[in-house]
Amino acid sequence: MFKQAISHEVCNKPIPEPISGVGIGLRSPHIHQILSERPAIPWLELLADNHIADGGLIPAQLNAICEHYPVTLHSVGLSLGSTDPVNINYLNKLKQLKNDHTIHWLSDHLCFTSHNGIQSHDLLPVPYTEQSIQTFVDNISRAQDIWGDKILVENVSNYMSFNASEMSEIDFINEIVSRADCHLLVDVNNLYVNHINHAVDTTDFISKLPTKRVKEIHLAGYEDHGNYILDAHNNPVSDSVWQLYTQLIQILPNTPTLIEWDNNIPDLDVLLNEASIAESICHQTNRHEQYVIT
Amino acid sequence: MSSLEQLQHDFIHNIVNDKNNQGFLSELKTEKIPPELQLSIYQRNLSGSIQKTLQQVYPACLSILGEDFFHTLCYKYQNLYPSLDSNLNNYGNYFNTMLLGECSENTKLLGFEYLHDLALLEWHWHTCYYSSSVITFDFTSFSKIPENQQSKIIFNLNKSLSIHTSIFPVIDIWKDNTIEIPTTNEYTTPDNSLYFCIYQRALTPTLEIIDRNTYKILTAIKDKTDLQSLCHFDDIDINQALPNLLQKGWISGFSLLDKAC
Repeated sequence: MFKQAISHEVCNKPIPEPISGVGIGLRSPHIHQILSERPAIPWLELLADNHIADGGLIPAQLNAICEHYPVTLHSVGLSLGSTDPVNINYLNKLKQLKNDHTIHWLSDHLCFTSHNGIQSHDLLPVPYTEQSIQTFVDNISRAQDIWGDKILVENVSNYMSFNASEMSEIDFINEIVSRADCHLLVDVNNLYVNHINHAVDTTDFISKLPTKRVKEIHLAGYEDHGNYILDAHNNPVSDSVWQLYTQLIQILPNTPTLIEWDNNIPDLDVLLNEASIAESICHQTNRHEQYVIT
Repeated sequence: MSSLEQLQHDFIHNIVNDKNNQGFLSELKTEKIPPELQLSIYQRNLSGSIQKTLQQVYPACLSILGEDFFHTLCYKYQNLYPSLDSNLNNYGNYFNTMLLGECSENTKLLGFEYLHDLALLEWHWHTCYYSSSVITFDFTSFSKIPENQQSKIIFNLNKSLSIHTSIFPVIDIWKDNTIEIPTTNEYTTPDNSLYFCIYQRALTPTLEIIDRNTYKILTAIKDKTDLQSLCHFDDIDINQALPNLLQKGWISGFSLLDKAC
């Protein structure tokens, strides 16, 4: 179990407003524009690794960003599914960002990225087995102890299936988040990628989600490679993913949602337009829910 | 080794070394995406990330070598020096070492002997962007050091500072092959050696030409030479040089015996 974090009163940090609405993933080509024009974006998610620096412009930019926007951290280096011990040095760097700024939460992925110190710089899947579950649970618990709060773990896109797998992806995820007592980040594009590549049943996946643990939703675009699709984050969100998002938001109303775009990064306006589509889906779904209730 | 540990070991080694180990492939299900393709998607993702990273760190080397040859070198680098840091911004520091070896072994690189020095410049320009330039020099403590202790003073260089020398006009080569226009003081391409340093000024990397004596002092300080020895350098007036180095922030602190100040 994680130890309770130092309260905001004790460390004289203001209590942050809860995150809500549709945010965007902050990427370096947009930082200057965002800081100078300050567009109305409900929140920003930062790729933690891009903001770990001893000095220079990066910490200064982070200070300015945190001054004007609610911020969450998304990391790729915790390697929570690895049989290696959790990288304490890396976690401490993340914790330092949390100590220095108002960071709403930290998320990482249900995968491993390194083994025996060698980095893959990719989100590598593991077989869905009891041994993998226990590895995740141990590492997430350790990470939460150091971070001082619950973290969010994200379902990953997958291009590999193992003979050793004993259960479905959603049953695997449920077991981990329940035993580790952590939160869940649902990436809709990853779910769709796994549906196309591995025939994952999206209805089954959505119906079995532990809704109380889902604290964030990710949306992104994929790249079509013919016999498979790649979670490339280099395109607009596809119609199929918007449809899945519409289904998801019905059971997870008002869940903070994020637009991710990492390659061939377009103008900021394109991302903001994607965010406005997500906003309108949320509003329509909420209106419909209210109508049904009354 | 547990079955999961073995699987992760094999998975990482197959993608880092671009191998198709049959034992590992037999662990994979044969379905819509065949096992060989499942593995190659991850192999391509890694080599793509490595190429993208090295292209960003070494734009001038890329421009000179051309995309195809540069990518061949990236692939070789990935195999020789697997990434050991989760942050890709820290990857690529041995590229200059590999280029040195390539220049002596690969006939295609005859006449490109300057690549090692150019790569070193580009690496330090890249890392300078992320490094700390905090100055902790405590002038009050420094002034209170008794005279009989002054010989034991060892200065610390600013963490963002790197010192360079080259017999090639690497700054001109760099300027001609990169879109970043560095701030440099005026200089004449030397007949013998060029001396310069890269450091952080106003939070951004800066390149400055220095003279031979400044290079000599900075190198000695980097090698932890004590103040007494610095005072005995021929042709160098340390009383004149030190205030200048402090003013520029190139000396950021000092230590006395084992005590950091």
